[in-house]
Amino acid sequence: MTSATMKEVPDKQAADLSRLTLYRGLVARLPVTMRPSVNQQLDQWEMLFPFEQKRLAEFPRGLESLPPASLDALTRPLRTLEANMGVEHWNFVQDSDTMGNASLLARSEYYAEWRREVQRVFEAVNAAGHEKVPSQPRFNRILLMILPESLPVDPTTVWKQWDQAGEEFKIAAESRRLIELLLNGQLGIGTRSANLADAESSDLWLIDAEAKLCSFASALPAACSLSYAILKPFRDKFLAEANTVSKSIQGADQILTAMRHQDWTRWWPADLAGQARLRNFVIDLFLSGNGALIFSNAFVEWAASEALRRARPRVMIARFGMRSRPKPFTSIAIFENQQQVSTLPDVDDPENSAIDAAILARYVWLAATRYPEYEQTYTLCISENANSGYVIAPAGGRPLWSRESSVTVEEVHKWIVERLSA
Amino acid sequence: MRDFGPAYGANVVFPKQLLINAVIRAASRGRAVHTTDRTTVQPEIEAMLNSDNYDGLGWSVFGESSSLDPITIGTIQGAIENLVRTNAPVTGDEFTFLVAAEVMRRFAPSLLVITFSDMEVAHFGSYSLHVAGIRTVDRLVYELWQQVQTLPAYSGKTTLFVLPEFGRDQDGSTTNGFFNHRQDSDSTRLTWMMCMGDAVRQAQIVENPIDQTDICPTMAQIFGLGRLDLPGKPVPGLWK
Repeated sequence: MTSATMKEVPDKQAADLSRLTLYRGLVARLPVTMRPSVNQQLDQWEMLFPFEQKRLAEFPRGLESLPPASLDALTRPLRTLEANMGVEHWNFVQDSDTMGNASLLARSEYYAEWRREVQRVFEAVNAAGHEKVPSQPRFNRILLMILPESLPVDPTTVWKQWDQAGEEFKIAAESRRLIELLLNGQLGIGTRSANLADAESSDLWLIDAEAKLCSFASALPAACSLSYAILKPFRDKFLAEANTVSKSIQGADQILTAMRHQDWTRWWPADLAGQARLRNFVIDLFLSGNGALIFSNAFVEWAASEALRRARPRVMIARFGMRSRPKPFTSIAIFENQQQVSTLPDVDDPENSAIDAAILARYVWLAATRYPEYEQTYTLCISENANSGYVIAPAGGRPLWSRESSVTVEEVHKWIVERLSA
Repeated sequence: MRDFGPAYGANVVFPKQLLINAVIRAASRGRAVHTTDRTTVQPEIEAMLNSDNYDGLGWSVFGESSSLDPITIGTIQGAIENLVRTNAPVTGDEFTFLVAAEVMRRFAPSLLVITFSDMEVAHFGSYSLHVAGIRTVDRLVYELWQQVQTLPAYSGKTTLFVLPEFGRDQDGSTTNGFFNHRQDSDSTRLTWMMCMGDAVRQAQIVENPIDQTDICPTMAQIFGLGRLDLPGKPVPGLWK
């Protein structure tokens, strides 16, 4: 580290601290029920991805830009609603979102009205903050999903569910080599953009049900790389702890908070050492459910969807995989560790894993379509087993391939790299 | 209606919870269940059954205690024996069905509500297992109807209602599609109901949507309970 960069870090920390103090003061001007979620995000500032930090900063900027009389007029209906709800008599936590808060709000007869009001105020403040942010450069993005060779998809039907949004294409042979070409060596995507080589950018994500993608991580030190298989010791420990969560709201809040702050050091894979933000992302992911702790393909789908939402990366590669057949008796305790509750060996379930993976790959694409960045996103889903692919170009862009002719895996690689270089 | 249970309250049994707790308890005591031999599972389930708070929920089934009374324990033990004897896939819904069948044989209640839930594996994101759960219930409902035909207490005087509790969220929703059912949309609210048996006038499809709150008044009318202070209204055109 040079002396210049050594000085930059404390300066940046001091600047962040000063900015956060200012932001917290601005949040205190909001109605009480709006404060917890913003305060929670501010408390986790260092754990936020650059995109999230930029977006979160827009909100206090918006608050700051509104004259007190305008802010008062904007929030008056919500304050009136809070008075009607009796919020001042609640044990309402202001520094973080809790299940207790959520249950107090949800039980109120004004809940639906409250949600509408909060939404209205958030949108108005965000819009005021957004006006002050200079527009960002736009660049092409890649969303690549891999259905690995072990999953026997039917190439005649697998792409039918993609809403005819793109085009099928055939790969001449060995489509599994695409990953090697993309992630390895001088021709790989790591050399195509300075951002992709910058660990701070969180612009390159590799999410894998198995452990193939992370084997290239040494060539891509800036990648946010998560593997369901490699996370196993952490997952097992985390699942065991999660199963102790009390059924009472207060007890659950306490245990969930404790799980967030627990020292998991010995359970994390070595790959995540020094990556506090990525580890925090995994904890958030597992606490938000959606099967990410239980099934590898649900992990890939939910992790990719959340990464797209939170980090808006330039390149997302999500690789699905195999799940085992549920064992008798353990299938009723599906949220338990199957290896622990049954001594039967695991047996692969390729056909049903392929069904799950194909549906969840489409879900990742659907998640991507929700954000403005999708307008510059090229989406590919590749079945290695069928040597078949599906490509969706941004509006107005057309892929080079037709359903009738085959392309080589080298051509697909070249096409992706060119899109990123454009 | 015949009177069962203190103060005519409903008798509630949680077979799936019993199985889950038995399997987890065995695992936590270092006795992982070797599921090729079903007889090894039987004592684990029975030990759980005879403990206080077998459901892990702390519900009181009869009186103040959350343990079961001897008659109900006998009923569930009969279902456990059936579970061990059968070659059917061992899922929570399979066991729920066996307990329900045993309850029908021993108590023949006038009103029996059965909740199946294997398809709720959707919350964990496996579409194939979700569909497998639906297929299991489809088969179990058929077997339940066969059971109705064979039991004199039910044959020719039973109406069966089958309905999903809710739909699933839409593909592409921020709530992660079929995983959940949180959206306020037709995909979660608009489902179907099948009604068959004694009270059904003729084979027909009723296209007009009804509310779930209409089901209780419908059943009340079938039982001839007259006007009750209930939300909803009886489904028109169902009975003879």
